[in-house]
Amino acid sequence: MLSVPRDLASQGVVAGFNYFIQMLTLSGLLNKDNFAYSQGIVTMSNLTMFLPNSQAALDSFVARTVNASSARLQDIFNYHIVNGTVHYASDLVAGRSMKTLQGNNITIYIAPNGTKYANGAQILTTDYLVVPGVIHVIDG
Amino acid sequence: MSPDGVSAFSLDNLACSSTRSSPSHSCPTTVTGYEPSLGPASCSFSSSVEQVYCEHLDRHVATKSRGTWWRLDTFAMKFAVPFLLALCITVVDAQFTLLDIIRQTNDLSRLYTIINESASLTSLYTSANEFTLFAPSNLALGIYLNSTTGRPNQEKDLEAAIDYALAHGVFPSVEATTIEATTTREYITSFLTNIRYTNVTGGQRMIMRKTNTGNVQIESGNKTISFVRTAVRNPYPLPSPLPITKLTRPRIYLSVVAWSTLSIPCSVSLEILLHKEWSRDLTTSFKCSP
Repeated sequence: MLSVPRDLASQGVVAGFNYFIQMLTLSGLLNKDNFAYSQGIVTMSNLTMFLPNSQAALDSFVARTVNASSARLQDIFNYHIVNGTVHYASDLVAGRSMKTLQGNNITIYIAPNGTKYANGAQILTTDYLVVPGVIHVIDG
Repeated sequence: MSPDGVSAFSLDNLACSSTRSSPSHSCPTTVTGYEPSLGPASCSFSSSVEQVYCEHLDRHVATKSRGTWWRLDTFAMKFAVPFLLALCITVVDAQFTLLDIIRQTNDLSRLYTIINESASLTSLYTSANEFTLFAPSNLALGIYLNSTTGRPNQEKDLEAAIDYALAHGVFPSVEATTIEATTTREYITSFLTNIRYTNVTGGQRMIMRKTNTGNVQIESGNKTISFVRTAVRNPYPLPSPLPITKLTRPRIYLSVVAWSTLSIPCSVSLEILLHKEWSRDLTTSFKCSP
């Protein structure tokens, strides 16, 4: 039986994206004060998300977000989201550049050994199909 | 990855390469002993070219043997041709639906029951064309139902799952010798468009690929892997060299061509058309007089 893709939150829990969930919790972006922002993300269409999920990513996030404003935190999360086009694994070819919600681009590099990188972060797992599009897991 | 930081990864150290592969096709193909039902009758007449185009036969006639088809055409020749002195082409359209095929397949009885009990699913499965169905077997569906019983929205979730099993496009059966394994991924658009379950333009996707051992895999939500266990093909037997790849509405065209009434030099051709590309291979012609 094919499994119907889940929404972002449910997928995060089921797949055990625990480092990322910790980042979200620490950020407070799931609080009611940021409801409009979080709702805006989950209701997007044709979304590609590069989801950081590693201890290093969590450590880096904590170090960079001490006393950070909501706007700054949103910027950080927005930098991991491409809105408007679903870039599946086969689209992550060398040199592919995608504009993020934050405004900067994510560019795909491929190492000689075939390892793929999104800017400086290694792409660990690709193609988690979700309601609004696709998630690729990165290490930072 | 930091939005304002410089990437620690140096492009200079890399030999960039594309890993994109050409798309592969795979899939279904085997149902036997199927008896088609036919669509409603309709006829049109074009006097300018002295041609009668008939698309007819009701369900009663359609469910009979092929001998009946011949008797029908004999009838047409006796009564229609003498008056028209024209070219008469009788087209019999055997429009059996996907739901018909599911009903005739033993291991899909649970799927049939679910579809039959849902108006929206029945509508989809009787009208869909140009599709590939990744049909859950009775076992697969049983496991799914057991694991979801009592969940809120179970009925809607089930409908979504059945929508999701139906994909746009016709994907030929996988030939082990012609498809590259593992690296080839095909992103297929499903008929699941309910915004509750997908916000992807055109319909939610699934991923089709092939393993090193030649098995077809379908990857769906949460990286769930399903294997194609049994292929379902069109119900009519075809010559063995022809790959049976199209799970769509086959048609039977029965043609009667006559040029006069009494001297009756006529020819009758029988064409079974399951797939446009195959029509040449499946056409048989008869001549009843020199």
